[in-house]
Amino acid sequence: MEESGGTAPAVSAEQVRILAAVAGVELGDERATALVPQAEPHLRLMRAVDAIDHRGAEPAGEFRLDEGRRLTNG
Amino acid sequence: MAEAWREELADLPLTEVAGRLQRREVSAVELTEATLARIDAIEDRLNAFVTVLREQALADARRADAERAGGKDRGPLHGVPVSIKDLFSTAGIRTTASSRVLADHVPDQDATVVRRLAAAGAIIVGKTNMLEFAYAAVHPDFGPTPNPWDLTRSTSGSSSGSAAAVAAGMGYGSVGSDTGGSIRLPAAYCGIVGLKPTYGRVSRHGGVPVSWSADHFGPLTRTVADCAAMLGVIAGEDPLDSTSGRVPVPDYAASLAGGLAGKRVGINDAYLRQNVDAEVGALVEAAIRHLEGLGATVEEVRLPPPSEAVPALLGIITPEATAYHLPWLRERPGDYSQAVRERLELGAITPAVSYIKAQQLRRRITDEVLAAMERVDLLAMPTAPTAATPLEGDLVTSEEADPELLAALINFTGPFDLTGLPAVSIPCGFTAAQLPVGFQLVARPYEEAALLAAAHAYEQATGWHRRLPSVLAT
Repeated sequence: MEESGGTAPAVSAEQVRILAAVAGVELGDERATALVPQAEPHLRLMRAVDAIDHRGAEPAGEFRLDEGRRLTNG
Repeated sequence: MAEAWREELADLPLTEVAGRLQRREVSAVELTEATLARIDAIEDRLNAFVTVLREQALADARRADAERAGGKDRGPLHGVPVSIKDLFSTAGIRTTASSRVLADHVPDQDATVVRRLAAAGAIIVGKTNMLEFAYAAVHPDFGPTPNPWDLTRSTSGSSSGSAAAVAAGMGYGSVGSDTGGSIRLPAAYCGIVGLKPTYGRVSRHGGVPVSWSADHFGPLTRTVADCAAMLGVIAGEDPLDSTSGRVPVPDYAASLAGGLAGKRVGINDAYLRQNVDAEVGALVEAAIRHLEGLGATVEEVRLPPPSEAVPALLGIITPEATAYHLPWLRERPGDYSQAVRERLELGAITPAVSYIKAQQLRRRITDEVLAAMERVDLLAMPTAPTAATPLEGDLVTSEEADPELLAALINFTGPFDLTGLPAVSIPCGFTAAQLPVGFQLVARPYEEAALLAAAHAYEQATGWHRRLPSVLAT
């Protein structure tokens, strides 16, 4: 992805299609093209998150082994 | 029972009808009949319910009356008609999440919230319409819920049907869910009270998830006291929810008298004067001055801005939602609305690195908000940037995901789904177009009692909650 217009990432339909395919979601060319106008602002928001330096912070995701619970259904 | 009396009965607050039930001045069957009559009268205009449980509700009401006649009192919800958002699993009853994907889904067990309502003797009159999978868009099979104050306007969402039902007297309270503002936004748009409790305060077991780490369940009611009564029933540790908090449940109703005297209220420019409609901003600033008049002190505090918190929340919600939906997204993408399908596809292209970075940012932002709240007891701010917007062209009826419009809508609510702090929306006035406006109070984790006490003091001093929506006048 290339930067264009400041921090706005330009993304092509082909890149969108490939990224989705990596997650197992087959978009096809037409759908990937249609998603580009939504993908650009979404990835711009993600870029805003990525740009903040918080290397000292542990991720908030939680993994506990202290309670003896086995849960698979949330 | 005369029709006119039924109309009046449907408009009373939950705690008022609970008192009348306890004094045997009214029966659960009468309340349920009044609620069903109100549904019959206006549901065709509001589309607030996916399923009305007419026969089951009347049977449950008869049982509640028999129990009370036999001397058994299950507490403040015993015999009181309420609704639940149609994402809570109900054994033997369709649970659709207002999506074609789950149109025929009939769970074999109840969500914990449903079990607790039933154990408290509440009468569940129906399951309310919502934005599809609580993900910011209406599915055309289910349609939007128009706003009871102006049927051309949006109820926002995603607990749209719950908010409209409570505002219009179709049940005395409802339980909804909130991942970016889905309890508080429709509460503000509909002129009622909506509480997003602390993350972990109310069990998430049996609710269809948007985002495991950001979903919160909580009450929507006409008054703060009603909210306290409902929270007292649904809150508490649940071994079926790994994130459920091991924190005792206080007597919220008994804490309501705590008031605002001596409370320190924090405000912040980015959460008060930026990205907010001028009319809404003026009403919220007036509400904050009213808090001072009730004995609170107001001071500026430093907070991480929504421009950091909201992208971080979306960086977490978006891929978590897609992870949940992935099998259906692969196999039945055409069964989603266009906008929800787009949001789920955006989750599929979100880099894992962004998700982890968002979780790091969540930790940092939460620490900063908690540090700010060492100086103050509460934060005050708008709930929504505007009053109810026209349905036509609204985010919830759009066929596009529009991430920036979503981010703007959850500007003031999303940061507290990210950080998990409890937040309540309370009516604080009306626009010139007679649309209700809500303002939001936020408290420290698990301090819902202090939060509700402050909200109750403001509500009792102002009385905005006493107005009835225009749909009841036509």
